[in-house]
Amino acid sequence: MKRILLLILTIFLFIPINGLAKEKDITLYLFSLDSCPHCQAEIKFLNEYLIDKENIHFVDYSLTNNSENRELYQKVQDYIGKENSSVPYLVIGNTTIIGFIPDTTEQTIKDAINYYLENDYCDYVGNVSGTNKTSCDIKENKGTNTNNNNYTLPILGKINAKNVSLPLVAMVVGFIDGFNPCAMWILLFLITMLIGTKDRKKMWILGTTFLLVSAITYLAFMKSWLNVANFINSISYIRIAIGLVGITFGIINMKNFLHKNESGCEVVNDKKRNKIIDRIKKIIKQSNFVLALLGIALLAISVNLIELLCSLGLPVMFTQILSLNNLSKSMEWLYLLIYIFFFLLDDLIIFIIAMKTFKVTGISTRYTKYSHLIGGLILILIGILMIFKPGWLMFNF
Amino acid sequence: MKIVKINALWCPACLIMNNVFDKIKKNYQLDITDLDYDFDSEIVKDYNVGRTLPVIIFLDDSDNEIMRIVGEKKEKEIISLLESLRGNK
Repeated sequence: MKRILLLILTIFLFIPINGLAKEKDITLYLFSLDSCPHCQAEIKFLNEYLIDKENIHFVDYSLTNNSENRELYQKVQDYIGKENSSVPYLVIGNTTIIGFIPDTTEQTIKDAINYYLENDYCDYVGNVSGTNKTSCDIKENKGTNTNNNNYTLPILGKINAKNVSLPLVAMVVGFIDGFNPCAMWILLFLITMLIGTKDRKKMWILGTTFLLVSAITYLAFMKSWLNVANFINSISYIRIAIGLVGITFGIINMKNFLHKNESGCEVVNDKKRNKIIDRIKKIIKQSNFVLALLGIALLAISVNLIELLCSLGLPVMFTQILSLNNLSKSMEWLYLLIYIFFFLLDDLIIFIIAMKTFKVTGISTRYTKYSHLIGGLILILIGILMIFKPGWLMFNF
Repeated sequence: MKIVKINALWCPACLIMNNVFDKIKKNYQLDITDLDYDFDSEIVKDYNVGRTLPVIIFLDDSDNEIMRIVGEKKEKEIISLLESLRGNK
């Protein structure tokens, strides 16, 4: 009897304890977009990797045309406390893995899974969505928290590619858009008239007001369009239609570049121009400073609404890019402000030089001509990407 | 030789060309008349200016038009033109 018991005990000693204990259940939550190629790659990897792992579950929350999932995505970020509006966005426990690079991210995911198999695990996303009734305390993140948009560059060190890409697009497109001649002529005329007053205080205040109100008007338009884009962008045929509009504007810009033989100023609409000139003269001569300020502000609003029609393509396409990137409200405002600053940069330079030197300088119309070319190419490229490869505009790596 | 420059206060190319002529004037004796497209419209009408500014018209001593250039040009181009017009006199 004793020998039999000893034999049974020996056999049990050789059975791994893990094999007896139930493997803990871990759920991976992925927030993705249908049009995002990196998301699709990650889904494919996870489906293949987890196929024989019964205790590891995978839930894909697609954000495309799904406001409930978007709401959950925001709540999860608020709960975990790491706001980064990128996809693919994978959550394991309270570990977030953003972006997907084959091999690198695959290993990161495997490491995270192994970590939680061996350490404390709590289903934070389940907590937020209500499927997990156990409360999870937000602890210091002991798992990996990886953002796969990071690259290490010489001298500059670690750079987040997404942090560089969108601001760069905002700067470049805003700067090109700023070479719009439609409102520039009014600024030049206004500055010349202001210089004529020889009143420094008036020059600075009225000129600055014009530029400030111009910036606010353009910003208001772009924010409104962005709000519309956020609402409609998930509908693919609308995105395609906007892409086609972008291509059309791009072709018009290219046509303007090719057909403009001379580098000079085009005289258009004498009647309208004379009306604006008279308006500016009245404002400058206005003795009541408050009325002069109001006049300048109204002028800036009306002029910039007209200017929008001149260069509708670039600001619209830029807001489309912002919309595709699912940014937080604060980031949307930041990129819009960057765009507006670079949009106004040439005006600011001309204004400041004029105020300091009492002399108006112009920007060569050759630059304006080439801005049609570059702007046209940018519009055509963005239009094509919006139709065929919207994921490439999402700056996810 | 006389030069009539038709500009506009709002035209960046005109401002560029004004700077070009300011530099050229230092080395060349030039008789230049500046007209504003908007404020001197009655006089400008007589010169049949098109839809592009600036327009720079070169006149002989009898006020007959020798040639005109339209739009923004480089300083070298203007100097070369002046030299050739002087040479043809």
